[in-house]
Amino acid sequence: MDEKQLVIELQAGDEKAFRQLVGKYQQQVFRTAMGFVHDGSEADDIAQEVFVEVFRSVHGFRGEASLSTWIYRMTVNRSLNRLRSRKRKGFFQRIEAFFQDDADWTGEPEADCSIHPEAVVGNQETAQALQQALESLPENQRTAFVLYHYEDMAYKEIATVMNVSLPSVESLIHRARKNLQKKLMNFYKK
Amino acid sequence: MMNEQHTTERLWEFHLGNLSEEENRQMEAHLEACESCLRESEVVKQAVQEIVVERSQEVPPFLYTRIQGRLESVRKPAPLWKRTLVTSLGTILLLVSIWGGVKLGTMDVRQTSGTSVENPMGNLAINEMVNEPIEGYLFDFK
Repeated sequence: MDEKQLVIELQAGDEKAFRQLVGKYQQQVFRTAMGFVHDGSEADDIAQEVFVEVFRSVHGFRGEASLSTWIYRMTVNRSLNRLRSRKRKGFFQRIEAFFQDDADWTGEPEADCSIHPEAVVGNQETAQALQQALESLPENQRTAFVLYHYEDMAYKEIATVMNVSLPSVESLIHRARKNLQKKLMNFYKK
Repeated sequence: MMNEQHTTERLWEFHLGNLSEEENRQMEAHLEACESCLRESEVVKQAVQEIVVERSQEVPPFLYTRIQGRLESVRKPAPLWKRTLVTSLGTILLLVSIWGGVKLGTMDVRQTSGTSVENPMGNLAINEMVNEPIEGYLFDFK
């Protein structure tokens, strides 16, 4: 079934078409979400949210972008929202810890701009260092990096999903790599 | 030979296998000679390997069933009797509040316009500034 036909059947509320859509796009949605949250159960949760959203709003899909681009945008937005709420939660937890027990208070922001080597041990060291370094990147750099490295997307596709120009994507990925390298080098120096 | 700046910029492409054979050879030759680039190359290599591990994770099974579960709760509206009951209760509450407000307002007007002889303390409670019958209160002992 081609994309146009799939959309028409989805808009008609066909459950078979929806099942087909989930089967076709589940891996890309899950993988993209993984690139942002680095946690299987959270990525699974985001994937569920994305497909529920697709089901609810497919009537408004006018085909200006491809279905795949539309789903990627939703996944990126959901993942970024999840990270923002995680950050907010972390902030309130730190405040709570401050009022509960002064000894717990370090006053350091959570995984924002520095990597804490003492927090990582054994084989997970690289994984955690990479995650923390990725989380410290600005959202647009992180999005471009994840779409390129986790999804193998071409620069042109990334430009469409992010709604930016091709040179912007090149620049975002270049800066993201440079920043990551710098942060990871700092981590291994310690 | 590639200069150092050039090498560190192309490390990601090198470890992703996106360079041509010639570029690969140049890169390898440079990494053998330059220790700082080699160190940086190891860091990038580990990051690329970690990304490969993460992206190879499969979607947990039965995703469609879980999505269906979520959709059930979205699709199913509350039963009609429940919706009617909630709406009626809300309307009744609103009407009672309006009626109570009107009642309170008219009570105030009636009491301030009435004589203070029968109930000299009554007005005090409602509006003591307007109608405080201090003289009558002191001298009316009948």
